[in-house]
Amino acid sequence: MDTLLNLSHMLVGAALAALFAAGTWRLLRGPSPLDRILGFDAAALALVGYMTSESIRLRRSDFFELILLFTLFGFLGTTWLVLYLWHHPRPTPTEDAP
Amino acid sequence: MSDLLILGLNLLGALLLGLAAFGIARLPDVLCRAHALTKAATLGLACLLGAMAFALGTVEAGFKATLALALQFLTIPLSGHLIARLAYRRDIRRHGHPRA
Repeated sequence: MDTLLNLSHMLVGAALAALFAAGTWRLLRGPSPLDRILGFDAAALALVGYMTSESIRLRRSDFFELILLFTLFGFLGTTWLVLYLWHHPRPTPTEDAP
Repeated sequence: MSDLLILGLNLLGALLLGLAAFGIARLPDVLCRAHALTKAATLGLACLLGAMAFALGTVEAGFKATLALALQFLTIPLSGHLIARLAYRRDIRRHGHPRA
């Protein structure tokens, strides 16, 4: 049972690493600013998931406040970026580059 | 019993988070990517938080996990909705809909 649990923890870690890598790639390479915001959101969610999986593995509740804080700051960052773009309707020159 | 629940929730969460990563990396436009992130990643994180509640095994941990779950169910779809609204307003290029 412990072996299976360790294996599932490794699978969760691999999925979270894939999500973080995909988010960072989308943040750096996304064709429009919205793709970059989405990539930032995905990377923040992957960090939250990593803290959750560590607290599952170690069976400690120390990371819990960090989980709440990172969820909140990821949401605030996304909202601020979207509202900034919403209130500045003139697009940047490179916006729709293919 | 608790170990079995943790194992199942971990596997389901890993599957959903992997699907979210695949969607973010490979889907063709902003709306599809926001769809993949908001649905799959929210449910995957919900599975991980449930596994955390069973791993800690106290009532206090259950309340904490429910609180974090409520916060994420409130915020992640909201940011996805904001992104989709901005994409609609900006008339971002959509897959399969050539711009007139």
